[in-house]
Amino acid sequence: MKGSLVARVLSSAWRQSPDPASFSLEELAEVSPLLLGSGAGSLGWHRVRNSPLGSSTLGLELQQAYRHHTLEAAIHERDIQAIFALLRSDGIEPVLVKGWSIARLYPEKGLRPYDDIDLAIPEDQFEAAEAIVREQKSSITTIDLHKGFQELDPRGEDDLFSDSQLVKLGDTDVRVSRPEDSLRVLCLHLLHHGAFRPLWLCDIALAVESRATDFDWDRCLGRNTRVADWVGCTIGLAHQLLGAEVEQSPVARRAKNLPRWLVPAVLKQWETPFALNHGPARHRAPMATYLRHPAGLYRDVRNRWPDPIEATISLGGPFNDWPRLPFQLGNCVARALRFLRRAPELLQEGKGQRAKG
Amino acid sequence: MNRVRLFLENRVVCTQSDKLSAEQAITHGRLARLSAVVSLLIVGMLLAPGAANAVTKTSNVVTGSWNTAGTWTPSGVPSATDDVIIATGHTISYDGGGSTILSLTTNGRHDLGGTMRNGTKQQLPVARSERLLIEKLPDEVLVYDLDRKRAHCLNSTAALIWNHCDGKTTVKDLVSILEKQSKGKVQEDVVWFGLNQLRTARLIDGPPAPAGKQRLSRRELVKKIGLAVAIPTIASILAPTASAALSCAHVGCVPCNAPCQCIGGNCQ
Repeated sequence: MKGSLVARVLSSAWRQSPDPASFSLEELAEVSPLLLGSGAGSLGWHRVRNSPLGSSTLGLELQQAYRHHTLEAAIHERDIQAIFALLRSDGIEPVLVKGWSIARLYPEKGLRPYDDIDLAIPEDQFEAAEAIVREQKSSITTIDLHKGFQELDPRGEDDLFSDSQLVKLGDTDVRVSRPEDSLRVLCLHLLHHGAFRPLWLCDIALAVESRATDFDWDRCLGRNTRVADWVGCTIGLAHQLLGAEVEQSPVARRAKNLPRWLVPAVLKQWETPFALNHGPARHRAPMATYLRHPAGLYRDVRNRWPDPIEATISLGGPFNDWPRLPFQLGNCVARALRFLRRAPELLQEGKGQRAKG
Repeated sequence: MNRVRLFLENRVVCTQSDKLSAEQAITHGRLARLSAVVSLLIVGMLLAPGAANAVTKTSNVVTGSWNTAGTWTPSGVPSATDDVIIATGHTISYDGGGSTILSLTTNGRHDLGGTMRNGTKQQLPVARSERLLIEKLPDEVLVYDLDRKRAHCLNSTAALIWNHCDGKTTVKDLVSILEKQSKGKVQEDVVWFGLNQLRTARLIDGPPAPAGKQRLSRRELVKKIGLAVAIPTIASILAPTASAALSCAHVGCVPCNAPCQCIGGNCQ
């Protein structure tokens, strides 16, 4: 219920002129903490700013988030210029992915917050880039370096670097992925993280709607039919949940016909308070802790039960109507095996630490 | 002859506020006290090392600039070892910046970086521009103080005042600007209220408001002037932020930034 309400509030919020607010103050109150907690407060504000809800206490709270993100964006932009200058002075040409590369497409810079600056670095320059970033302790923003594009997109990376493009940020030319690659990376990133952040789906809706007429869908979807279907389904989620316009695109048909489990899985994610149950806060402690202190293991194992999207993606499964349980079990087994392989090493580390202590 | 000597560790630190207070003292005829101070200072000067080398610079033009060498006899801009005399009938303008001299004797007038009006010296506020990030939105201006790590939101009235704090615009000028903008009557208190807030937020440099204008409250202001013009407001920006879900690699697990570790596709 709350998940669908989040979707209703964010529907069309990425557009210059969003649809008029079609929800009550009570409904906004119900999802406002979820919006604020997941970084979509500004978009919530953009949706209600021209309605009577905009001047309500809740509206003003969302506006504060918008102001905050506007200033944050100004700080990040300064840092992006600085890090590009720094890396370039050492002959390293990074490609900025996610974050600013999508935030710049929003009608206002404060609408789309981002926490870190993701930079894809050619593999042979990665260590040098890492050393430079490590020295840059004064930087406010976290810089997240990616070794090539492998972790962002399983496709070969040569094209992704050579076909990237330069866009202006003040006086600086910032290298970003082509719109096709960017949309693909956004889709895969969202799926790998179980689509828990509604903001990511707004990004996809925006990227789809702002595509140029010569947008190369073949490049975006790629040759691997399964991955292409994942991308198509993600765009379909943006269409079904947020009202993204997908007509005139090769994924229009798929967008209207998603696997039965997919939309409920996303809505379930969205109704969970962001900071409590997603990402870093989901696991109370590393599993290795339970090797020595088994109490609480059962609860933590339950917390680690994967959502259907993450599980399917982790095992490279298809997005069809079959039940997701096998993938979820498979994901757990794979993680358990990985953990058991590392267990002796972890125990050894623990003993070493105790001895030192 | 009004004779004023300001000493600090054998040297006169010629700051604007010092000079302002000296001038006010003259205006109010506290000559007796000043004479005593002057006498003490003369003794101090005689005893002070280096005082023997002092040069007396006397103004030689009816109106002139402090920082022009030709304004003074002997020629040259007064320095830390100089006694300065502004001769009767002369008006010397000090253009700002910092100067150190040994002593200052005023027989004429000196204008210290502000505007002299009706015999009352006003030192004018200057908007800070260094180490600030400024984002202009349609109805307000957001300012982030990079030194103090504080964020402020200025409504349109406060922003208008702030934008015109250039060290030349007087409070009366600011009132006119606000009146023009709001197309209505604006009281001086509105400007003082805005300046007080800007000063508290450390967005302007300049002296504090006159005693009666320092503690204006919003409520009093609204009661007094109504809502003819938006009351200048500077609000701090504090908003809940998204938890730092710094996603790391899901394939291959590249290192997260210290002190995080990449666990299960997330930096933890």
